[in-house]
Amino acid sequence: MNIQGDCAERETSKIKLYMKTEARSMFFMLFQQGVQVKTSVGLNVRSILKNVFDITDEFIERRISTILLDGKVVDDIDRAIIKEGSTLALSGAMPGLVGATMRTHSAYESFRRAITYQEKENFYPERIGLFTIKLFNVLTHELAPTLLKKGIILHTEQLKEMFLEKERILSKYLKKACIDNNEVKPTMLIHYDRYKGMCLMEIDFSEAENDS
Amino acid sequence: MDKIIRINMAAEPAPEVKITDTKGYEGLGGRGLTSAIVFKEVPPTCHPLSSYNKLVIAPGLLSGTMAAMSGRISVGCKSPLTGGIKEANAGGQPSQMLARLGYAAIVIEGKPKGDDLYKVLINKDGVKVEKDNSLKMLGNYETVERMKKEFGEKISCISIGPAGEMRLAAASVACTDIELRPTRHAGRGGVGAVMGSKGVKVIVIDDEGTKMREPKDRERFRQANAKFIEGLRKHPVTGEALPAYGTNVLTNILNEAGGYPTYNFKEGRFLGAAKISGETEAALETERGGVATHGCHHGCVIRCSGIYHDKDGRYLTKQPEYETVWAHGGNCGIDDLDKIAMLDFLDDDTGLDTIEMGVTIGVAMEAGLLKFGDADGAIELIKEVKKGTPLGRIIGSGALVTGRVFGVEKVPVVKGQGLPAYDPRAVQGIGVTYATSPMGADHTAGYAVATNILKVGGFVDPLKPEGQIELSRNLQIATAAVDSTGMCLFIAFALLDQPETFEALIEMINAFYGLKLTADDVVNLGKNILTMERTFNRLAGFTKEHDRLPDFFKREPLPPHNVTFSVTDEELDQVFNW
Ligand code: SF4
Repeated sequence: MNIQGDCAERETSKIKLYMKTEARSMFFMLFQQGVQVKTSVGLNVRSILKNVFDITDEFIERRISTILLDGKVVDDIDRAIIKEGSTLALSGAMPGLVGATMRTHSAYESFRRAITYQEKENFYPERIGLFTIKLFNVLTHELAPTLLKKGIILHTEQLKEMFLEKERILSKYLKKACIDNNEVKPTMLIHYDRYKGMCLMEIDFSEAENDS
Repeated sequence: MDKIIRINMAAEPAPEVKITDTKGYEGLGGRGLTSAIVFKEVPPTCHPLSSYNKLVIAPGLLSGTMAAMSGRISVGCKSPLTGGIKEANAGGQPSQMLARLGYAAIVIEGKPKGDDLYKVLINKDGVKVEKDNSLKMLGNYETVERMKKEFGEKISCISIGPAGEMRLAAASVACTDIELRPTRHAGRGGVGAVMGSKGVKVIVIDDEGTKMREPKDRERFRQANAKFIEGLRKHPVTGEALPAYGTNVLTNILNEAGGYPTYNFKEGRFLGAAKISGETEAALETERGGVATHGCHHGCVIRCSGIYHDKDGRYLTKQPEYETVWAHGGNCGIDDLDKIAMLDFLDDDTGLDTIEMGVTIGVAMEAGLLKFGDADGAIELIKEVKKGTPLGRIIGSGALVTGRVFGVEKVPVVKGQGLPAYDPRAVQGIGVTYATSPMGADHTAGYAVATNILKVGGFVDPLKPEGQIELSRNLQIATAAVDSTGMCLFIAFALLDQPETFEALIEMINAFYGLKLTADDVVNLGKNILTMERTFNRLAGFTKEHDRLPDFFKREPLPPHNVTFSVTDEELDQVFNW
């Protein structure tokens, strides 16, 4: 997957961070609200999951219990198509009858038929596009690091707010920061007003200092 | 566990204690026992706060044993909130201790003439009931502190706060947890008001000098317990999601699915959901030095609970669970976890059901008494309840009363009880259970074991439209049975997917009591309990018209999916047609 592709110019800035691995979880909260990725859309859920996260069918079966596309529960991941602007939410196993009801192919499917995803399109052209991914609970730990490495697209205000909230962790674990390929001081991440609108953020969690 | 403590609070000159055998109630525990006693001994038409009502407190069949997860306690009576039969259950330490002392139940009967308040001490030497008016109108936390000073730190307590003393219909019964804090509540249905009407403030249980209950077949029991624990540990819900995030892990997904009731059931999504989710809550607890994985009683291996610290790292309350975070959070438009935790503490201290309080405040917001999102206003309302002001008493009487007083049309209750945290328009099968449960709108009444493991009423095709009626029926039967074991209902997730874990549970009961129960017997137990409960309600004046959701669920579409509740009344009437 190349999430920069030929549409990279639509983001105003590219931020690259070099962090210590311990700081990984500080970014996990972003995935609850959703981040965007740029990839081939117009493919079914299974293909996109494999492309974006580099995961196997076995991982999908075993670890991803609930899949919501545009707020509706997906039972058939080979038929449901992710389109430009779609929102895909993924969750591990959840408690309660409702948790069980929300599972893909749940025995309680009839309980939530009103919100089960039905694919209406027979054909949707494949193209590079943006869609939103939300990751919940255990899946954040398992899938977010891959996405952070490949790059996520989000609003700079969302990012600044998080940097401000986690300033202490940031200063402790940030090794190097670049905005549009220029190295900047960590404080610039919060106060720099040259980056606005949407931005692409990539994070390198390796310990190396000079691999930009 | 072959004795019942009967305390007659009407006896003169002082309450009278009798220890009886369990004749007529053999083989019953937890909800099975509370509902059987209420069914047989309480006149269905009596006033819930009258001397004719009885408060029954019963540990489960496996409580006090080595069995993991066996520390739930059931509290039953005729409910002042619903007017029907009620069983509310809680975790904490009292169940294990009471069972180890050999008691299958405490039955509090009659009603004292004056307004004196009593405390009850139960230990290996017997049962003592003493007048103690110094406890009047104390919060649950202070009450427990006083008991600790008087009886030491090795006790557990079952108590009521000021709400119970004022006999408010949303009053809970509190049980102390491992840290001896009153954080585990039999919340639903106003059971605390019934305890208050009996003049009992606190029951102190001291199990010093007792031992674990011994199974008939020790080795078989040990093996079944080990298999049961292994099943819980390996299942992704009981072994991963619940320990890591608690029940609040549901917030994000319900919200994303558009089934998270927001602004008094107006919308299905709350913009601030991520700020109050289980993921955020667990991270905050860990960051502040609290605990994100914690058991509410010894022997819990899932440990879905936690300890919530304030900004300064001091204990504020136990980890508020999903229902509480929703009721005080999304339902009221509040997205501040610290304020929600404060509301949880105030509910626990005042002795109030957190679900009923959140739903009630949502109704008060709908009425314009305060604005949606006004967290400080919500906190003030709970403080009013504790003070016993007229407004506080209205709020403490629950959503139905508050809606009537303020002329609100949209009041989300069934049989007078506030709806829990799933919108029945999005998850319609849950709506079937809310509508038809003899307990009133109750989420736990549908948590249970898979139909096709239990084979209740044959195999149900979940793809048929009528599937949800059969499923709701079968889940209610199975829940009633699990509620009798004293097991935490959260075991259901592992039972649901792993037949061998379910078999291990039945094997434990059999090895303990020397029985030969089969899955069919468990089903029959569940059916019998539900039949007793339904019969009690019918005799109390309930008809099929009470098995309905409020009208607005059928008429008002729920955004974002714009769905309405579409299960027909005729279908609802089939739920108990077995
Ligand atoms: S799983 Fe949760 S509610 Fe159940 S016994 Fe353990 S801590 Fe208590």
